[in-house]
Amino acid sequence: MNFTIVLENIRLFLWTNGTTTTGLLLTLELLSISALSGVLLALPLAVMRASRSRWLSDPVRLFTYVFRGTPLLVQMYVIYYGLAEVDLIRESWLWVFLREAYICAWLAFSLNTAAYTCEIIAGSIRTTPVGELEAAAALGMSRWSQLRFVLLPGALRRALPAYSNEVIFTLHGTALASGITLLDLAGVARSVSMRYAAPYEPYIAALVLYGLSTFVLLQMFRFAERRWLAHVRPRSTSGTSGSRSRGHDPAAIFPIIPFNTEEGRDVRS
Amino acid sequence: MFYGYGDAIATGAVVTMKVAFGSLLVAILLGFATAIAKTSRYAVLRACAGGYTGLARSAPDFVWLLFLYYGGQAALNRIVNLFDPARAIEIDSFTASVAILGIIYGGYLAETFRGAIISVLPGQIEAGYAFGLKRSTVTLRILLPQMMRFALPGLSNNWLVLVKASAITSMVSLNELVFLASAAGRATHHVLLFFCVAGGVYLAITTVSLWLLRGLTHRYSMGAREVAL
Repeated sequence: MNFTIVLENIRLFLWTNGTTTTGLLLTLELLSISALSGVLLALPLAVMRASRSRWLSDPVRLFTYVFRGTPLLVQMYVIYYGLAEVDLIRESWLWVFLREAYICAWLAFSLNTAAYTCEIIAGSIRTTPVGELEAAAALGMSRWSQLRFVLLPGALRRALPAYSNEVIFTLHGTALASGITLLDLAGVARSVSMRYAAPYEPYIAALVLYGLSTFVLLQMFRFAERRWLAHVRPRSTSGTSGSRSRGHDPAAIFPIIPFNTEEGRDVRS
Repeated sequence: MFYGYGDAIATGAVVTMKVAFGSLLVAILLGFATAIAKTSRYAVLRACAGGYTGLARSAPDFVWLLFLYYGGQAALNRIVNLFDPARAIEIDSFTASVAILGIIYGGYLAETFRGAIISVLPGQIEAGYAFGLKRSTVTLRILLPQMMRFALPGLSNNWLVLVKASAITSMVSLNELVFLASAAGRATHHVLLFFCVAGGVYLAITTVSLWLLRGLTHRYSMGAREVAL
């Protein structure tokens, strides 16, 4: 093992090759813009998906069915290689954007994560206790106020543990960007590995950096859950001495099950 | 149909199914063994199993695939050369893909199985031991059939993820669906068409899988009553 080739190219691995953003920075950039636009897209879609009207929910269902049923790689190829073939697009103003691999990757990742996030949020909207909404209606809240102040705050909080998984999957999905010529972390590892005919070191460096990013993201979500999901966290029964023996501890009688007990629960598809 | 590339697409679909099934098998075996190790009373086993699942799930499957494919090949040849300097072995990309995807998704399945093992009532296991059954008998005849009901939802999810993840093996030039679709697209200048066809095939596979898995869930939940509010 000779990690000097990684150290020589550390700039490339971490942020730049001199002209454009590469490596870890590009990966994180793709992740943050895709996750952000994915959530912004998923929010209205999830409300539509959970709607009683079939005119609203069925188109969204079709969207999530297609994007959750096909590989991200194929979606990316369709957008980058496939759309480039359509004359109508090549001649329109869209071509300025769609010929950029970066934009195509962003588009593919956003649509993909939006489909999964939409189902996560719609699921947690559906499991909202009906009483909360009835109480809001009894207080004379408008439909919009019910949505804005009662339904979404609770539903989004409860979607947080499942959403943390989705963000990790999006991070891992960005590794495919190297398939459409981008030099993200996986792409840098591939190109350095080829240039130096080194089959181990560049990949190990990439694996370590991806692992660190995953770890940091999980810590951020753990912090966010502690902040916004404090009301469903099980109360510690072993924290203070003697609290275990107390028979009338409400948390012991009605154990509140935290949503993320099942580690690594797959929310994909 | 498909400008003479219909056969190629069909072949690709079959290879995709083979890779997905093969790696599912590897992943189930590895995942089950790891889950048993995770619930073991020996700390060393638990630590090893934890390390494996943590590593497998911390980095993208695509990067693991590249690393294990190229690195594994190089490492294997280095070991072979210690004994016979003139020989070089090459593992075909199908076997390598099945093994590598199996190893990666074994880490995900281990978590599913671990959750399922915990969900089986401990009294069932204790009753097995009380009857004087061997540890292996208890594991295979009492734990395994009962945990399947709890493992099935996670297992179906992982199967669907695995079918879609098998697309990345086109990057190590395995002749599966995406690889052949892109070759056909380049040859006929109908890239969009062929990628959409490939997407349609994946959609068909996942849809049929969902139907079949729903039936299987029914079968394994036999006798279990659901809570109805």
